Amino acid sequence: MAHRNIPDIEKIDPVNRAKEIQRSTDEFIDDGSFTLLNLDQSILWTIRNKIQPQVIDNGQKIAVPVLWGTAERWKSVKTDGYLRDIRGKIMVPIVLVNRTSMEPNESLTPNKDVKNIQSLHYKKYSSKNKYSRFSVQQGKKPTYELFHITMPDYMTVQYEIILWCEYLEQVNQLTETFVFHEGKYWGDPSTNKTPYVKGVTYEFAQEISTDTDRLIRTTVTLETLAELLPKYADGKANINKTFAVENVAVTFNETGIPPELE
Amino acid sequence: MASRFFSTRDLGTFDKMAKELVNNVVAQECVIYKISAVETDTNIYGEASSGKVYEPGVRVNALIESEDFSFETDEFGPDSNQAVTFAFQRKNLIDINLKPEIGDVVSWNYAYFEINSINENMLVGGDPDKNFDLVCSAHLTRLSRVNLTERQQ
Repeated sequence: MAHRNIPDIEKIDPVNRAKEIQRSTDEFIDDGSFTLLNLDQSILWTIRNKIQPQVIDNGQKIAVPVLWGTAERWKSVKTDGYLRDIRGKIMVPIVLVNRTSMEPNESLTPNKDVKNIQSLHYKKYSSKNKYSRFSVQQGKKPTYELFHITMPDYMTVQYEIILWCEYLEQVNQLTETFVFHEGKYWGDPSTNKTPYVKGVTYEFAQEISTDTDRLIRTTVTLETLAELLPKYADGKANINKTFAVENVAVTFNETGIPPELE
Repeated sequence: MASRFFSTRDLGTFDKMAKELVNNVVAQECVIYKISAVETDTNIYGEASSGKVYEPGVRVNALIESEDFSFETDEFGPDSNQAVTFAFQRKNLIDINLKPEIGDVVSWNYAYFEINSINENMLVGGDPDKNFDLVCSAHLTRLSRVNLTERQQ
């Protein structure tokens, strides 16, 4: 007789149809996750859209391309081929971003042994709380939409930004721009993924050798505190709308103290 | 004192044969761009960040030896390099009043090469007055460095 090999996951987590509740599409704008990808995107977004590195090259103002480091070879040659000349030599100036290290922030470490540490939030506005005279007369309490959000992990993440130019004067311009923008919240303000970024070190490299071009670079080390939360923790969504206060009318009748209690 | 060998006549023959070989037989051509030190402004770091000014390019025949392209791949992606040797006949350069120097740019094979060393060591009969050629070692330089072409945005 054949036996079906049921994987453990099916035994542990059967589908609970009671939890399959239809929700309107606009109920959740964000799933609350904050991944490394989001963090990297915030850094790149700010450099490309806020900092907008530019240098004066041969009397002409040129926008400096910003790239993520260590791309695949085909991408470097084909997609970013415009950065190279016909012989495949890179043209500068160029800005390169790399994530170099990450470590837990010791001062913000929660007790990870406790299961499901969550924070509770509520939305101030709910479409269900429509103003009407009836609700005022009845003294109806407004409905709160409550959300349980899994606690994130606070990590200190370091980035290395290499500013590579032909001339020290150009590198100076770029470095000054980064100094101006450090110590601010980076990322698209229309999202909630805007980490605080501060500059840690600025290292200058000027090298010249016999059979290569002169090398002028600044390596900027940036540090940010990231609230990392994966998209699915323990295979479940991070935000759960678990409870909403019933929209009920509460009335109190004045009654005296019963004589037997006096 | 005139030596027994390599007389002026001998040298004339060498020059004539070499000129024919370089200009008509091999016929490898390159263009030398000399930086105008007078017209190029430099900043306190000794760099021409406001743009280099070159003398008009001079087309010269040379014996050109090029090494294979080497690609160094780092976080910026593949970056090519090539070492090339340009050997000029000294008489040829004297005729057009041109002296290549370190830092000058040579255009050849749709690329630009910066001269990094110059060797004038072929002394006929060991005589310093009978210097025969001028060999420039150069490396592939960045297009963004030479400022000879329009920069694309």
